[in-house]
Amino acid sequence: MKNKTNLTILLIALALPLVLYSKPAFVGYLTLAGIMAISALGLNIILGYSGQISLGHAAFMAIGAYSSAILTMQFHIPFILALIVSVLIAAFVGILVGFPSLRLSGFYLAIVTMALGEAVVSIFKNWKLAGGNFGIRNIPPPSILGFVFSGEISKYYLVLFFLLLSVYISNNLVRSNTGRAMRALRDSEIAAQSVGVNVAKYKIIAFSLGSALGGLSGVLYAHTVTYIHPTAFGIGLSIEILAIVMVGGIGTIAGQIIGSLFWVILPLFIGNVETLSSVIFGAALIIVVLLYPRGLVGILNAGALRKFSKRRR
Amino acid sequence: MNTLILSNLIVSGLGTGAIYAIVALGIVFIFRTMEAVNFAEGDMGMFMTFVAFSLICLKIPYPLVFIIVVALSFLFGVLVEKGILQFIKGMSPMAITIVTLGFVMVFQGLAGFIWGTDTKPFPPLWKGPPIKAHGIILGRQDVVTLITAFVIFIIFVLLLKKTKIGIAVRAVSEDRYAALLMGVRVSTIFAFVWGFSGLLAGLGGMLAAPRFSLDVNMMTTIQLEAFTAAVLGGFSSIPGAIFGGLTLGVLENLISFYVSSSLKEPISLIIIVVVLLVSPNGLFGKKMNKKV
Repeated sequence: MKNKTNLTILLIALALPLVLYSKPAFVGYLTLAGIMAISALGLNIILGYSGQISLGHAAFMAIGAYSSAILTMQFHIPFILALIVSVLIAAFVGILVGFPSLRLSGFYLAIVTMALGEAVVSIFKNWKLAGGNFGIRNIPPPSILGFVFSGEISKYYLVLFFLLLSVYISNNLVRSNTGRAMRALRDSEIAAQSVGVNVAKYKIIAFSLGSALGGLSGVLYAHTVTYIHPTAFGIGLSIEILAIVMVGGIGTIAGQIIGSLFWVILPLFIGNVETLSSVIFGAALIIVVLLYPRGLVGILNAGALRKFSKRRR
Repeated sequence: MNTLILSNLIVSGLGTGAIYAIVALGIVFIFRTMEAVNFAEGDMGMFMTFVAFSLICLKIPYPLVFIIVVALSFLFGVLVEKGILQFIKGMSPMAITIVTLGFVMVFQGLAGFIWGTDTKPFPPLWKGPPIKAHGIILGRQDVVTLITAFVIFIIFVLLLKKTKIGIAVRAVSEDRYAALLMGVRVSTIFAFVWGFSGLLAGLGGMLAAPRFSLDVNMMTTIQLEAFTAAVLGGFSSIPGAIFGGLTLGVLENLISFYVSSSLKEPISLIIIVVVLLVSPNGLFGKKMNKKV
């Protein structure tokens, strides 16, 4: 039953651009949703599985985006190699950020990660090679073995591929020993420690994996949007990613995709007024925390359950 | 090293530091009673400063507007608590903290929707050329800021130490349930704490707006500095927040003058990370034990 639903969703995702062939702009929005979903899956590993709050997740997107843009434009490194290096850089910085989490928890960690996120933005602002306040323009589209992903639809499939990869990684992680250890430390750090979970190790793993996905999302963002500037990756975006994770459904994989779709599509419904969609999304975050802690996924699941139970009667 | 330059730097640093201290005080006050961090403190102030801007546009004299908006800020804080937060009393402080992140999005979005995202001019409370005394030059807005900060700190301390509601606030921050059993109306206290915190936010916003310019993101940096101030002071300590804010203002001025002006922004970030890693309880904070 579950596999059937997943297969249907996958088929729809694969076929969607063919249906929307005449509306490349809309395909572009879906691509953006995919990119945000990858980033949200990363934060979901840190926040949803391991229970470590991070308010600097956008900084990892910035690290991925900037390293890949600089590597491909200044050093003329092929895209796929730049992608791998950038993801590794993001993962490495994630390990460094993970260290404070060994000593701090809760709101202290929130403040430190927020400060570190702002520090990354301020480094890119003052760094000449990264274009300073102006950012980097005209980033080349992704290209693999001579094939250039220049059109909206080819970019969509590229992002879809990496999204499926991220979903695969997240899904395997949840079922593995590592994932179980992470959830144990989320539920109670002291209890996890007392049954022999190496808390430090799993926190670091969570931060490095989550940041790597954040970095991957940044790389894809840079090469599909083709323009990046430092202030876009500030605390505002970090809060929005956190809101996607919470609104979609914390600790679930489907939630991240639904949350990202909601984030991208919401502005389209209210005439692209960015300020208004920020209000609605913020309100959604508050409502989810107050009333529906399991997010949109929880609401959808509850709806589906009700439907099935009615049918049985 | 010239002592005159040094004293000038210190005095103007205190002017900025007082703003940080006011905002930090608002954050610490909520943290002490609810154990949640209010990430929307700065944006509550930003929103109220925009309200003040609208009132000034209606040709109401600014000193009157100042008093009205301070009162409105208190009501705004009470409204936030009574309207939304009181429904999550039983929830973890982390849930409340995440709700305040939602407030950040709502307040910034609303302010941008109502007043636009461009920069607005905002008048100082006391216009005129800077005051000179014994070679020390001090902007009039700095004088106003320092006096206001001093007055509000005195009021704040007297309120906490001498009045009935202040003692109730301290009782609630000590042990919420014991206070409840002793007949303290905890929900009223929470509303009062948020109200006073809102008042401090509005005050901080209006004092900051002439110095930095008035726009939607105005308080983002100031709030980060306020967090630094609070962290420096130990996060749960009221004198710590005041001391931390003033110290940070002076420190920023000294470092940007004597070392490098490009260090002004990162310095607070470095302080946050170093203080929290080396001694998370700051200079004045109490040690908190983890509970299973």
